[in-house]
Amino acid sequence: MPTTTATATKIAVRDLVHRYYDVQSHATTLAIQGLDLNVQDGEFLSVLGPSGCGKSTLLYIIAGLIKPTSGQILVDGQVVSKPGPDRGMVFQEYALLPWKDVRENVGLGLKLRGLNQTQRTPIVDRFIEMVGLRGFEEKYPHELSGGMKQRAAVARTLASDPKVMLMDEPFAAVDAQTRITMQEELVRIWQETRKTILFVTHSVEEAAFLADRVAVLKARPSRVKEIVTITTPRTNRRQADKDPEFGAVQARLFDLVRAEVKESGDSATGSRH
Amino acid sequence: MDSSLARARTDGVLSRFAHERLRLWMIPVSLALAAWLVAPNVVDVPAYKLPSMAMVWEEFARMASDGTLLAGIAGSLWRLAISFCIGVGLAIPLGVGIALNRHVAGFFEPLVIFFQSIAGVAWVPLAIIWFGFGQGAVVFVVANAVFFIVLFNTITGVQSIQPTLKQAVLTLGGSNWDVLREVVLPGAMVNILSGLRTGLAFGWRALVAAEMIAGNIGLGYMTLEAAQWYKSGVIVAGIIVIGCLWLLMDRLLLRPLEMRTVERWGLLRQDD
Amino acid sequence: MIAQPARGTSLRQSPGLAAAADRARTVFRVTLPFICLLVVWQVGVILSGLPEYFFPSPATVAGSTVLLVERGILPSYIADSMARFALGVFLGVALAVPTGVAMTLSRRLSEALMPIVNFFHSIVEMAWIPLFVLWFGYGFKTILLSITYVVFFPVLYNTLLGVRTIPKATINAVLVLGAKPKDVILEVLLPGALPNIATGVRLGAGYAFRALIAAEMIAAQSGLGFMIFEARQNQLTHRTIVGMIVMGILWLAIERLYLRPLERVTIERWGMLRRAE
Repeated sequence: MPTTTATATKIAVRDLVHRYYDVQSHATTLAIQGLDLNVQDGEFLSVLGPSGCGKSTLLYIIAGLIKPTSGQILVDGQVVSKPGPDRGMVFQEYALLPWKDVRENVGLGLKLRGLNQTQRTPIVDRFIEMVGLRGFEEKYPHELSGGMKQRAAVARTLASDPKVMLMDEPFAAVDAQTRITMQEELVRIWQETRKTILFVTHSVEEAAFLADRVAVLKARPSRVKEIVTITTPRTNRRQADKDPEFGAVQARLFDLVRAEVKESGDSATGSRH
Repeated sequence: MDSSLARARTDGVLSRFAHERLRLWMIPVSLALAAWLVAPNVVDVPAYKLPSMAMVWEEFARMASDGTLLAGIAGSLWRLAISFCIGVGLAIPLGVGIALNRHVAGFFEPLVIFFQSIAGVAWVPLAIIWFGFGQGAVVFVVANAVFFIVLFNTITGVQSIQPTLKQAVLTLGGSNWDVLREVVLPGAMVNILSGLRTGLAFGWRALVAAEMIAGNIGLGYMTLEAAQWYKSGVIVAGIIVIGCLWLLMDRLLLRPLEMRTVERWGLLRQDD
Repeated sequence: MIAQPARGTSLRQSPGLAAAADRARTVFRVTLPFICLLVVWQVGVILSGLPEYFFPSPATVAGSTVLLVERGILPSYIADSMARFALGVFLGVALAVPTGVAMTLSRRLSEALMPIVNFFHSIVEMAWIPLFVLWFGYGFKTILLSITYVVFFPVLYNTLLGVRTIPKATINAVLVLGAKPKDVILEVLLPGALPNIATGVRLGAGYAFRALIAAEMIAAQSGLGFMIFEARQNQLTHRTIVGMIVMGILWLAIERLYLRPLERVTIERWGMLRRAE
């Protein structure tokens, strides 16, 4: 457990339990059991775990989109149970509204807050610039590539100025080359805006490159297995072989995840009827 | 390449294209008209069965000048418009309301599917019992046909929206009302439009049928009544008018509307 | 698909039991709304106090159904209607598919026919009924022709679309193997267009079913359309409602048991992606 002072904690997850009924297997599944996690103010924290371990569920619960069976989510010490603009979310499937162009999508949060067109424009333009979508303001989502859609989605989340950005495997659907660019740009944006970011991924490399700390989740029912702190400067992180310390951290993460994948794989074979 | 030359070339291609289209239409249509012109002289059918072009034109001119044609068209379109508005006006709010809640939608789905499958003409006898012959019965039948088709499409449309779109608006601080306005209505729009189009097609058929069976008014009644008196000129004139009206509605109203949303938003129609 | 890993903490049921419970739940889910509708209907009749001929109760309708079945009226009318429907759809398809194939083979024919087809397509089949009545009188031919007419167009359009979406390379590949035009039609064009043709048949049959009802009201002495219309004249409103319910069930059965599976099978069998009409 990280020992930090309460004042620096942005998000606190307290003894979270989530159980749901799965229609396909006709079984009540315990997805999360006794999960505790503290995210510091301004921190970039990756949540890493094997597929289906409940890491996205955790993010949706923090966002207020799923009600947990029990436990609490605190943002700045306040209990939250509904979605709100303080916790912005970037979805894996972009979730841009197909009937709005880039400008309208990015300005959506501001519009919902009641800002009029002239108030929105400078803010929207600033974030469109930041994510590198200048010149694409009038494009509709179907005219954009996967990477550009995700840029627009990031800009949309940033534009409503949330305290926390929740990112649910945002680069899982883009190609490998774009993913690397997007990761680097995300780090730049994070350094510019100093937002607290909670980033869910199943890729060890991605988590290790992006985060200050990586929380590795246990396979279902999930809770935090171990938190790995990464101190290597991000500029050195792309060449794991040249930085032995970072190489060791990455290897440690691989081991942790591999153990969980193995266990969940075994249990899946064991439980087959 | 010289740009003026290029322009001259495309101009040539364009005008040739327009010319081509005209030729494509002119030849078959004039052939068909010629066949109709010649037919009475070649085949031996009584005029009451196959009216000559002159007879149809005569009837057409008579009805146009004494106002019966205009009254018939106006009456039929008016009934279609009222029924369409009633059907759509009830179906969209109800459909959205039903589809918003998964359990409510699950409850109503079998009923909607059942009623959709008998919507329209099958209600004519009941409509006559409830409203008597005429306007009321016709409007009920047509509104009924439009209602169930649009209702079904609205429900499918709302259900087809990706949940993450609603969630995105919620995490941006949107209320349920915002979700309805920003996501649900535009998201269901393609299906609703497709429902409007199908609804109008079925409604138009139901209108012609209902006017024939339950009406004493409109184009449908005018043509079936003419059959009683063997006035085939009136029937054929009526057929042509009914065909042209639908052609106008489809090309001027429905296609542009659907094209605009489907193409601009890059949305594909859900299969209904 | 691999099942989601379920850990020892899940409460599982036996699969057979679960499937049975699933079926029971589905039956319940589908019947409950109709039971509720019947209750609301019956209560509505009692509360409104309207005369039976104006607003018959479910009980009367049920009794009427039994009587119509016992006397053999309903079965024979259903048989009449279905015979007309099946023959009309068959004729429509039998005319539309060859026309469609011929039109895709000959550019000239397609150019000549297309404007005429488009024009006739925009005339609803109902508008023809008075003329058909003059030509063939009130009866079988008039009904059959209006069904055939309404099936023809969607099937034709979808045949054209289906043939057009077959890659040129496929046709060339068969030609290179020494195929004659007949072989190209039978081996490539028809199978390739089949999924679209099936879609056309489903759409056309939907219009045809309504055309059948309307035409039977105007021009028949038997059949379900005739029954519901004639019952009204004799103030046997309950019979009208029996007829409507039977029509609904019949159409759902035709669509769910024949047309949709037919469409699905052709799409799956030829491994084609569905194309929009």
